[in-house]
Amino acid sequence: MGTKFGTAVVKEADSFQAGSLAAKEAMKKAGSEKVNLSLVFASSVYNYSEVIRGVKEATGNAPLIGASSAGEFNEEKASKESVGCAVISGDTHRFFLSRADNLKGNELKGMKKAAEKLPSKVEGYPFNSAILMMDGLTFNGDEVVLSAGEAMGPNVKIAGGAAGDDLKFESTRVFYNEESSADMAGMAMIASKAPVAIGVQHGHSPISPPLTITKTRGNTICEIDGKPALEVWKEYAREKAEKAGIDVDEFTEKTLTDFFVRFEAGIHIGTGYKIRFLGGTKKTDGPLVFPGAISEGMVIRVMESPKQDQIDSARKAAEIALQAAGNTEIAGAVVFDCACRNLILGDDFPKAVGEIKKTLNVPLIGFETYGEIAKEISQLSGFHQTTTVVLLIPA
Amino acid sequence: MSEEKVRRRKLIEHYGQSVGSASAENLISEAVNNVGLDHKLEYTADEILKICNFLKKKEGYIKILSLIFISHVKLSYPDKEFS
Repeated sequence: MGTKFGTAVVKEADSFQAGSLAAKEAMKKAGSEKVNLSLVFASSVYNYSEVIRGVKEATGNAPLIGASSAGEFNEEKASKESVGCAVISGDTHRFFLSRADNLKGNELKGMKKAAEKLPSKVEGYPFNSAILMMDGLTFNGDEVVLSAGEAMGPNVKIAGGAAGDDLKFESTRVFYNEESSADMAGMAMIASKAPVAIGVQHGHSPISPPLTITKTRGNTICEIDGKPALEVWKEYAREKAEKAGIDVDEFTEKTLTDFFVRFEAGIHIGTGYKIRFLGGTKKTDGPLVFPGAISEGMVIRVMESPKQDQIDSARKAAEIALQAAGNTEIAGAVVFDCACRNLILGDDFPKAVGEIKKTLNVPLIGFETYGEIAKEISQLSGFHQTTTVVLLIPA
Repeated sequence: MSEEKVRRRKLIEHYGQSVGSASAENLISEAVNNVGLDHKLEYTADEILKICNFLKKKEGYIKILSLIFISHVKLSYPDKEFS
């Protein structure tokens, strides 16, 4: 029988109808009435509980995992203020759900408790992986992914994303069966006959030398190299920002966000850079709000992100995933793509989705995240930003 | 069973996956200095425990990673009494 994968992205005024129609269309495209797992991504314009109820009713109460989002797309369209749904049916994977609540500051215990409810081994399905969804505004992505990896074991690949809310940065939700919750991580463990494949890539390059964080307060960077952090960022990005029409001496709320979308932070991790979006910074005189693990003495760089590099990196993420899959036939793809990439690309965002589609040539569902998760076997950390993560589900 | 040693480079690599290589180098140096060890290429399980026990006082990722290493070291040597 193999595995079937169908997707839909719909816009409907009524939340229940949006969920129901998205699920029904996805099931029709998958050609299957039985659903083993639903993946649901919904814009903040919807009532999440009603969307979930619509999907659940259409799929015969199939296990469901998902998140609120900042944009939804599939192989046909890239959309905003919509509901995206993928259904997976078949006999080559088995799915098991678990959740961890009240995670902030309690990541390791919470994820271990959640993992205890999952089987460590499933007869006939030797490859374990997991889709992990987490709150997008708790700023503990590094900690959650590290803890999930420890809890699930070193041989489990993990892909996923942090929930969004259409760039309002007010409240994000993880969907887990009938519920939608904040400060929660939802996990779908996938036991498979053939391993899933993951590709991850960003399109940023450094434009500053290494800069040392010299003063922090909580999640904020107050000083870099002994100077006010925002001033340092302006110094290195000034020329390029002005070419892009951003006056760094007269920031408005909007241009400040645009500035950080274009000039993010890069952390050198030996083989390349991990990207961090400083867009939580709202004060035009700083300090910089850093969305992840931070410490004094940490070294970062100012990065830039030209549009074409963002399009190329989407294709590259798909190519890396395909290469990792080898000769395995693929049923479909789940793409976790940072909401910042849409801001950078603007009207060109569909081009990036188009590159993924052209490369993979399989059904795909995607959502725009506030953080992307890609942890390969034996890796410890796997939390990214302004990055594309492609998860391939074998047929 | 002879005791395996952990390379300092490996330790930096692990911590560096989140905070970056340069910061990880600083972190390990800080820990080594604070627990009174020498700077060397590899450390025994006992020494790793000392380093991680110092680093677990930090917050977030560093704390969690240190707790994970402590539990792995203890699991690897169930019969050993650590100082």
